[in-house]
Amino acid sequence: MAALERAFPEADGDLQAHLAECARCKSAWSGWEQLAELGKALPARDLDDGRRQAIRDAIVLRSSTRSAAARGAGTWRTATAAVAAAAVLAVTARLAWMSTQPDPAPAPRVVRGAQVHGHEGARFMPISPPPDEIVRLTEGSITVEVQPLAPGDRFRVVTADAEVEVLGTVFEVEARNDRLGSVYVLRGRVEVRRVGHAPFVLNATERWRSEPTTAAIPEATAGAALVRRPPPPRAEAPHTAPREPRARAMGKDPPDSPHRPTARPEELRYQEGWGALRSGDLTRAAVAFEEVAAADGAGALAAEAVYWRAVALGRAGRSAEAARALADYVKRDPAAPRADEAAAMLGWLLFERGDTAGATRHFTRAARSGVGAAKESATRGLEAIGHGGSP
Amino acid sequence: MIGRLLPFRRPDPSPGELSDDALVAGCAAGDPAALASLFDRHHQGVHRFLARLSGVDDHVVDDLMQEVFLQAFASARRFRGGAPVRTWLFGIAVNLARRHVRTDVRRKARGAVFLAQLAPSPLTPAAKAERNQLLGLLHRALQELSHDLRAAFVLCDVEGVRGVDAARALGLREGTLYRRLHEARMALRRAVLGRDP
Repeated sequence: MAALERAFPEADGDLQAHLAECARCKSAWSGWEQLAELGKALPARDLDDGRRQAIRDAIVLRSSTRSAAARGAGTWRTATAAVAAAAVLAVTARLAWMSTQPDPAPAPRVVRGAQVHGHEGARFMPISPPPDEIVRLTEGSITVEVQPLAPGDRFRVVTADAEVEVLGTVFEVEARNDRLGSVYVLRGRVEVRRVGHAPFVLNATERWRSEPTTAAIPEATAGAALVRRPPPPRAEAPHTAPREPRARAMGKDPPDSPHRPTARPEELRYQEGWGALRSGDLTRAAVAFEEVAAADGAGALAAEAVYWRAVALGRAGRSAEAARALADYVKRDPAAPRADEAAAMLGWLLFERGDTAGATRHFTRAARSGVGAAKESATRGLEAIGHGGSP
Repeated sequence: MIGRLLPFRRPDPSPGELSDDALVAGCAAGDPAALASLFDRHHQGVHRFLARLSGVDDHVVDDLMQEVFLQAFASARRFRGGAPVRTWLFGIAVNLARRHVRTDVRRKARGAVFLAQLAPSPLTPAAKAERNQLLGLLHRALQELSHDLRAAFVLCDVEGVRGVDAARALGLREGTLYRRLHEARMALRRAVLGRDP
């Protein structure tokens, strides 16, 4: 049996020879192989695409934040391992960009020979370095200006259902809910193809826009869907959403939303979220608020939705997602009406997860709040950390 | 001056693509795009490994997976390159799962859920039932093991990671890993197959 005590799956020839001669060890090994076989059959849920993408977005967002913080603190260091590869990727890192939040004065981002301008609310990121550069667009619109590429080089913008491959042109791509929403060509020509639809060509100043629901791409010539018009104005006046009275205590039920006879779809959805939250249907509430946040972009309603989505997630016990939502809320507008409350809640979530440094940071911020409940909660949190308390 | 919109496809893996080691180096240099590529390559394996290792709710597995990649990003500078990146990620997952299990009390309710999750099988009804029963026993027995023994079994026997790499990923001497794996196998065999070797 001594031989088996050191046996790994990649058993060597000596072990196999021993097993051929020793019935007892052979029996034991057979049993362990049966266990391993069973272990491989243990069910493991596959990630659906939406969940996978959400996690991917989250880690990229958080890693981008960490990178920025590290650079700001002057702690930039190069890798000691795989120096050559790091050198190549460092170029990518310098050129890498990401936009998940509206930029008040978005400047074009340079990706090697291309300029990518993210419009308000656009969510996009590079996922592949040269020579096959890929920009992943999940929401909003970007304008891309690509210089003529070298032979063999590629530059693509992808959504979940389509891909735009560039050889040198200026165009704008919009995605809605990770689906291709529109393409507008400023210069040059673009051939458009989507899965299951016939291709068509867009010339300069032509725009193709998907239908709101089925998003059918016109067949062949696609003339019916093409319109010649200048690009729409990009600057949209921020929506002044109905702001709810502030909840004065952490986790307190939000007040009823006001009745608005001419409510926009996202406002109606927001109210549905409220209804779900009040009735305890937390998952439905979280989904509704998430949709509102996506639909309203940088609007005040979106900010409120982000906050209450975090509350719904927190009540549902989905603490990690709640923490991310709260961090998102605080980050998008540190002076937001509920930012202090969000910071205090985030502090407790991080504390429960053992991240005392992060908890301290958020508690400290909330402890300076003029909101009594947030200040009180954060003070208790700091005391708990100071006393070496554990969740 | 022509752009083309093509059916969506991801770039096929090819020797020309960056290696896992290069992506880790990119992470060490603070490149989120490298982390995204690393995630694309390994998220399924890490997710499956965590699901089998930790025996926790699905959303916790998702959270842990996210933390695995964030920690990989944060600690990429310390990656020594001696073991496959996949195994290094598993090592991070083991440590995060251990931390989670220590503070999580929801493990208790996992068994009932588990049996309802068993995947369809081409086996006959009787054989399927027996296999499901064995799987249920194995799942429960795994959760009764200490985290260290469970990690050794899942890493080596289920995921098939080489012993030397597994020991490195877990920060153990090989002898310690041998002992843990042996103990895990003995305990599981008793619990699942109802016999000692």
